[in-house]
This record gives sequence, C-alpha cells and structure tokens, in this order.
Amino acid sequence: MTAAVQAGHPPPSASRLVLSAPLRLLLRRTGGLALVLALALALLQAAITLFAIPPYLMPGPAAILAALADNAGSIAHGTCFTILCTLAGLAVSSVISLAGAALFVALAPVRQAFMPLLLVLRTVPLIAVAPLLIELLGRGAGNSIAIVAFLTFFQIMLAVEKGLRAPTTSRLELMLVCGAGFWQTLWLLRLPSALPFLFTGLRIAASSAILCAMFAEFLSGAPGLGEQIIDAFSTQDFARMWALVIVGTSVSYLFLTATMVIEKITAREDG
Amino acid sequence: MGRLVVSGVSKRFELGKGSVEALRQVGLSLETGQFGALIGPSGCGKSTLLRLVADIAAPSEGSITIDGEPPAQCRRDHRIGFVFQDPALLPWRSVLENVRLPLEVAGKRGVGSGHSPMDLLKLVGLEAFADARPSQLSGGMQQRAAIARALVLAPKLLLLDEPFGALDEITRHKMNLELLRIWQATGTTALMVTHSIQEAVFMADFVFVLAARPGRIVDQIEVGLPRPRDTVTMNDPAFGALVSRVRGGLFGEPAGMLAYG
Amino acid sequence: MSRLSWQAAAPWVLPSATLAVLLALWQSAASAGMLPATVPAPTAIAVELVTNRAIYWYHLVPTALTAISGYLLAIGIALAAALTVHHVRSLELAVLSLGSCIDSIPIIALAPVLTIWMGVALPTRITLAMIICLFPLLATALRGLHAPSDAARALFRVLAASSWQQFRKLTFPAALPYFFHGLKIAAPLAVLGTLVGEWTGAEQGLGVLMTGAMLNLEILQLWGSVCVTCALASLLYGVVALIEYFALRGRPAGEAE
Repeated sequence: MTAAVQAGHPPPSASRLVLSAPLRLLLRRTGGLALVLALALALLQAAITLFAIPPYLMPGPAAILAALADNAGSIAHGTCFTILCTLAGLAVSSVISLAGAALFVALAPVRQAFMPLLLVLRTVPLIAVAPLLIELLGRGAGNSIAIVAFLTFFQIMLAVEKGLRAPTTSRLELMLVCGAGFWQTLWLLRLPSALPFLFTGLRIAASSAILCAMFAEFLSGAPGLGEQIIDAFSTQDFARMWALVIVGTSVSYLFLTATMVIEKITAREDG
Repeated sequence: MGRLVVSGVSKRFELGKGSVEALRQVGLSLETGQFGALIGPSGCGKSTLLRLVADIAAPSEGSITIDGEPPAQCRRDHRIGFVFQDPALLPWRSVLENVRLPLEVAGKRGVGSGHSPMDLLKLVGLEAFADARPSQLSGGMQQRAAIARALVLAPKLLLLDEPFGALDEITRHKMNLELLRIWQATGTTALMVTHSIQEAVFMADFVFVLAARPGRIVDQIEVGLPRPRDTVTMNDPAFGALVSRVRGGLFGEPAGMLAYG
Repeated sequence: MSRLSWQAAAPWVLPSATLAVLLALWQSAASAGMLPATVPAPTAIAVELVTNRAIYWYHLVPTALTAISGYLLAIGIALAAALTVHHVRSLELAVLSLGSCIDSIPIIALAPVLTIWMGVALPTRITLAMIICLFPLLATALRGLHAPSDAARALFRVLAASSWQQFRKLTFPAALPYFFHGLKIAAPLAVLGTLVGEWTGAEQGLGVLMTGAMLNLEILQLWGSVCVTCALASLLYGVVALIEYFALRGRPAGEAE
C-alpha cells in the first residue's frame, strides 16, 4: 500500500494585511487604552447623572476635558519634561549598568562581592530614598534624572548582568576557537546577547521610572506632571487634577507599551 | 480482562478555518495481555488515538470498548494506566509519594486492589530512591517511576505515549528490556506509541502502522517472535524482515512484498 | 575552619566584607571632612537612631501596621480574584486588563484622588498600600495557577481525579513558588504605598517623619528615617522569604523563574 502524497493547505490569501507582532502589540495596547478611557468617561458621566455626585467629589467628563483643553499648553510642557527626564535617567542607568555588568563579567570576585548587595537593594523600595536624594542633589531637572537613574539602576543592572552571561557554552567556545579575546567576545557576542535582556529590564523598570520622575517632581517642585498634580490638588482645581491624572496614567501606560514593543522587536531579532 | 476494541473511530478537530481530520475510520483490537505498538510519521494521529482510548478526549465517530465498557467508565474505575513522554512526576513529592498518587486519588475504591507502591518500586529497580525527589533522578529513572505509578492500581490497560522518546538509544534499549520484564510480570494489556521501528517490533505482539493526513491504519503486522525477548532476538532474521515490512508500510512500499518466514 | 564550612560561608564573606569596607570608607571620608553637610558619617546616623529611638519607634509602628494591613488585604483580594478567574476562564482577560489599568495609574496620581474620596485617614493609606500590591500578587497567582504542564493535567484526568483532588494535589502545590515570588515582590511595595499615603497627608508615620525632616533640613533625622524605612521593607521581605523557605523545602530551586 502506498503512502499517498497529501496535498498541502492552499497558500494564504495575498490580500490579507500581515502585521508584525510588535506592531500588533502597539495597536492593541493603544487601542485598548483609548477604549478604556472612552468607557471610563462614559461610565463617569452615567454615574454622576444617576447618583447626582457633587462636582467637588468628582468632576464630570465635560469639566475634565475642558480643563484639559484650557491647560493643554502647560500639560504638554509638563509631560515632555517628565518623559525627557525619565528617558535621560533610563539612558544614564543603562550605560552605567552595562559598564558595571561588564566589570562583573571580567572580574568574578567583584561580582561575588557586589551582587548580593545589589539583590538586597533591589528589594528595598528605593523611592523611599527620594527625599534623601532631593536633599543631596537639590532641585531641578538634573535631580530628577539622577533620581530616575539611581532608582532604576538596580533593576536594569541585574537584567544586563544576566544578559551578558547569557551566551551558551557552545557560543563562548566558538569565540575561543576563533581566537577572540575578552573585549572582542564582549563586543561581538555578549553585548548583542544582552540587548534583549536590557530591554526586558527597561520594560520592568519603565513604569517605576515614570513614577520616580513624578515623585522627584512631587517632592522637589521640578516642572513636570508630578508637580502639576500636587499643585492642582492643593489649589483644589480638581478638574485640572483629574485631567492631569488621566494624562499621567496614559503617559505611564504608553511608556510601558513602548518598552514592551521595543522588547518584542529586539527579542525577535535574537537568534 | 483488558480486551481493547477500537472500531470505526474518527477524530476531527475544529480550527479557526475549517477542521482537521486527525483520524479516519481507525480500527484495531488487542486481546487481554497483548502488547500493541502504534507507529507512524508525525501528524498521523497516534498520540490522539491513545488519548481517545484513555478518555482524555472523545472520538467524533466510532466506538472504543475495553472489556465491553466505554473508556470513560474504565477511567472512572481507575483501571487505566498512562505513561506520558514527559514523566510528569510532581516535584514536591518523593518518588514513593509520586507512585502512591493514583492510590490517593482513587481513595477507598483503590484500597485492596493493585500492588503496593514499594513492591512496584522494587519491580522497576528504584527501591533505593523511594525517598528521593524526582529532580535527583535521571530521565530514564524518572520514566521508570512513572511506569511504576501507572501500574500501581493494576490497570486493565497500560498506555504509553513515546515513553522513551527523550532517551538516547542505549538507554532506550535497556528501558525496553525493563518494560518487557515489568509488563510480563503484571500481564496487563499494553498499547504503546513509538517513533522507533525497532522498538515497535521488539516490544509488540502487533504493530499497527499509521499514515498521516488523514490519520489511518495502513498495515497491521503480527509479530510472531517468541517471548521472552532480549537483545539476541534482534539478530534473528525474522526480526529484520519484520522491521523491513514495517518500514515498507511507513515509506510507501507495497506490503506483503517482503513477507517474512 | 574546616574546608566544608568555609565553602558554605564563602558566598556571605565577600559581600559582607565589601559592605564593611564601603562603610569604613564612608566613615573615614566623613571624619576627614570630605563629604558635604548633607552626608553624615555612618556612626553619626547610628547614634541618631539610638538616641532618638523613641521617635523612630513612634512613627515606625503606624507605618508598619498600615503596610501589613494593606498587604494582607491585597493578598486576600488577589487570591479570591485568581481563584475566581481560574474557575471562570472567560473572566481572565477582563480581570487582568482591569488590574493592569489600575496598576498603570501612577501612585502619585492615585494618592491625591483617594485622599479626596476617602479623606486624610488610615483607611486611605491602607487602601493605597493594598492597591499598589494588588496587581503583582494577582498576576503571579494566575501564573502559578496556570503552571501545571499539559502532561500533568492529562495525568490527573486519567487518574479520574475530582476537581478538588486536582486542586489540592496538583494546582495548589504547583502554584506555590509563583505565589511566593509575588509575595516577595509585593512586601516592599506595601511599605512604599503606605509611605506615599503618609506623604499626601497624615500625622504619624515614617513618611511624615521623612518629609518633615526634609523640609526642616534635619539631615540626621532624614537619613535615620530613610534607614528605618528600608529596614522595615527588608524585614517584611525577609519574613516572607523565611516562610517561603519552609514552605518550599525540598523542592528544586528556580521553579518560578
């Protein structure tokens, strides 16, 4: 009896638009956010109408959107400030982490000495240290960046360190056989292998990074979203406060989404 | 006790766009105490068939009976033993506690029937590891523990899904010898899915050869080699002829052209 | 010291020695007057903690109690939600999305909002601590409940185990490492949430002490309160880690990674 050669499934229709996974993730999360916001505002309006909630307890969507429009300029300004400080802080943190992790790989005793300390420091809610850092570093953008860098450092460092040590024995032996030294191995093998881990670390650190920046502003008065929220709260301009809360939440969510998308892109390219 | 009859069984899976026919009109039977082997290429439905017999899934058409009862009844009476490709030992239990698991699940209904877990560990040669954790055992040893677990309630039917697939050839052959020894000591009916032609012919009384897309039985070969079998059996010309015949069924040569004997 | 005990001690020796060296360097730098006024010597901080221990204790207790209350509340809600989702799978997407959304709201924004709704009171702070812990606990609990392999689940079906048997013998033990992973992450977060709550308005608590010290330029008190806060967070983490050690004894390491 012959084993019949089976026909394969017909090829997929060429007219279907094929989106890459990271792009789908981006659209899904952004769309989800827009949907949730629209839904939340609609529910809010319904709740206010139904239960006759007074405006000082919870301003209605109209008031919130009006406040958003009225203060669009300063809110945009504050958002940019917060995001830029966060990005700068993460960048500083990443560079220092890479250098530190490379040092750990090069000198095992250094790793043995400092790694447990890093692990312990990672569990401590370092945002508690923020007031201290503000005292030490003063106020202003530089302070925000430094706080973000300091507080995200431990998470990113551990991720990068894991990444630099990620290459399999086979790959490391390959580099040896090719005659590569420590620096070449670092540049050609370890660093590329570490990139996906770096982006995973950034993703984990992302939401707390924005939070750190807003904290720093909250405590030090640097002109970002955090400072504006507290300002609105203390002047009892609740519509503006809520507008800022929504913007802050959306920024935080989108920032996290961006890191997730980047992580997906870099992970895909990793063989 | 343990007579398996599969008749006209088909299995279709509904996917997003259309359905996949995993099995079409499959039929086979095994008498009590016989050993059957299912062999075929990837996608021929052999693992699916095993799961239908174990009542892990239900057929779209056809019937399966074990001693005249449906598999669901047999399963609920705790009379089916299944060995997976992944030993699936629970890491938080010792080896002995893992073997005891079916007894605990069956509760009162399990008391009095079957074998003692310790006796089974002795049978599979693991009595020294009774208190060890699964992570301390090698792959082959874990699979032996899984076999002991499958036998603890003296099942009517022992089903094995490529139990030695993850092992190297040398260990695999040793495990085959072990399994034959254990199986003959318990007298259960057994049905095993395998990728290895040699393993199928070595172990079984009947080899069922399947083809893919759709999954169906294309040949049924009676292995008349005497028991007990051991490594020397593989030198028998009859063994080689049977292997050729199975290979023929798998790779498209007409069956019967290479008759043995 | 025998060879074996040296090997056992080695992982502790180097980091402890490093820590001691760093502290010593800090101390000497401070004594030599090389540090700014905002960085006191470690000995000065230690002295501050001992002399004013009554003050620190007075503020530590409410913070600790608030954090622990919020933590336990979050555990209860997370477990209830996870078990419900486990039974009614269709709810999973909705629950996770909701949790993720709430988790996205920066605590800095959440604190004023809750203060408006609930006033400057203890329940507000407990709620803040609870909210910040909730999502990590829920996410890890769900991951844990999904942990058993397909083969393990098929095994329990072949064994004709009841749902309760499957939960007790398979799902629950398999989920435990994941759940402890979440518990460890959430413990310091509870302290953080309490702190933020206190920063937004309270009369007692380490957060209050901290901001007060910051505003009044009481450097030693600022360092002291930060140290006590970190110690509290580490202590909670340590307690959970200890419970985990006994609960997961004998199991292979790294199950939840």
